[in-house]
Amino acid sequence: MIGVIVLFEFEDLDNYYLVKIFGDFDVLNSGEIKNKILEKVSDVVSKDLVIDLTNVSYIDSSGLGVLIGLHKQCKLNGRRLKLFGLNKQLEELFSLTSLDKILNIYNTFEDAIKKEE
Amino acid sequence: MADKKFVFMQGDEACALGAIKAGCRFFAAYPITPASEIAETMARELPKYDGAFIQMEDEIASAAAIVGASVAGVKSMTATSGPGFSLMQEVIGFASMTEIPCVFVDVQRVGPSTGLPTKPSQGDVMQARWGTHGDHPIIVLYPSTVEEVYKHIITAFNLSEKFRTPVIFLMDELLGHMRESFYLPSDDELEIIPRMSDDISDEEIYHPFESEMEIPNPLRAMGRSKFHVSGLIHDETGFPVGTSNTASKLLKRLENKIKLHTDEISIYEEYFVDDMEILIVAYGSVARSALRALKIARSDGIKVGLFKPITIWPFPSNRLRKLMKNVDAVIVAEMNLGQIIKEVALLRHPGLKLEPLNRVDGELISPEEILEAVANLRLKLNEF
Repeated sequence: MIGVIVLFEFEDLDNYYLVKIFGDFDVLNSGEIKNKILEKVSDVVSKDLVIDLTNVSYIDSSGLGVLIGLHKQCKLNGRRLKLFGLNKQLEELFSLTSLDKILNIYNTFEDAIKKEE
Repeated sequence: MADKKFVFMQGDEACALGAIKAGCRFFAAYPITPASEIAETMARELPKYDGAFIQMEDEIASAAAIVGASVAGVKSMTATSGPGFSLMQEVIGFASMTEIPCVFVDVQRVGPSTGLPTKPSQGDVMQARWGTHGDHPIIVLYPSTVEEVYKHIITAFNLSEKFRTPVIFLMDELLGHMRESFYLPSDDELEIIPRMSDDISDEEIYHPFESEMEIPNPLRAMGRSKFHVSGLIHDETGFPVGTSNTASKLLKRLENKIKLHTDEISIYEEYFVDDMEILIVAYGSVARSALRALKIARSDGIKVGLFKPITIWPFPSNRLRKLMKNVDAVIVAEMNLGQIIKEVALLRHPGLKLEPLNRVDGELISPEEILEAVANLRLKLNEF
């Protein structure tokens, strides 16, 4: 087999799960990323899920679909999906689709994990 | 980028909006998955541009309606999927013979017959070339991203006007239904060939089939210009002439108007071809997987290149033949049981290994499958 396709890294930390996604997040890998994340966190999401998009340059409708699905899964379990590290184009995409009003988007990792009052 | 509009658009929607940008003002179609969203967008948007949308009783009527609209002076388009595309073939032949510009969109799904309506396929590639009877010229484009759909549906209209021929615009279910973000091109980045004005004096006689470099005069609207249109063999006036000489002359001119301009019509993209040892040929949605696989292979130091034809017909043989001279092996990845590979096989040099990679289960060929094919091919090459 050629090449190891690193889709994401997962860390199970004290108060949250941290997921770093790499490369384009699109129709070619979104299903696999979703399944692998759900394998790790199980259907009963017991902590907030923080997703680092710093290394993601592009997201299409299937990538957005996965994020919306994870957001719902977290919400069902009283947890939150938090995103940070969006580049300018991703910011525009989330604004255009109004997902910035639904999803929890932060500028930095520190902002995302900060305990809210 | 400040002056450009950022959009998040579905492939089918991009096809419709790009067509309107190209000047399409008449659309006739019969709904079918996965092309219905093109009709929905046209129904909503065309009236805003004084255009007309008609839902016809079937695909044969839809095809005939757009040919009629084009002769009447309006750029026109229809959109369908495999089953409807089969029905349209007779009219495609008529438009080809009568040299009427119009655009046929086929958003491919798994066939034959009604097949798998909601799954992508590339099974209509040969039908797009040879679906109608008789020797005939055709131009077929097939983009692989939503941005390319928007851009190249405009190209389709331009080629149709310039060469006075029906142009077939292939997509697939995945491309038609996915949404992608991109910046719309600004007006000054777009070249749009207009339909010739119908401003003709009463004294002027218009000969619609007189040609220069095998390309007939630009089409004028029927009305003030009066001319005869027939699917029978005809001379420069358009009236039927049943002589062998006229038949031979007309059919050879139709063939040559595309063949002699193949390089001008050919659109393709190449990636990492300068030092490649293995070449991947992929088009449409599969080219997305191929490009992803290529980047991974390159990061592992494996010298793989990609040739992505966007003009599928006439097939860009000249360029591909040159690229194939430099490699020992070629992989042709396509969502059918091997259609374009037959065209690639005609270009192979002795000793070149040609490997098919096919899927017909409605699933996209993945980057991993392409990487596996590359790995297997390298093993085979090393055995020799």
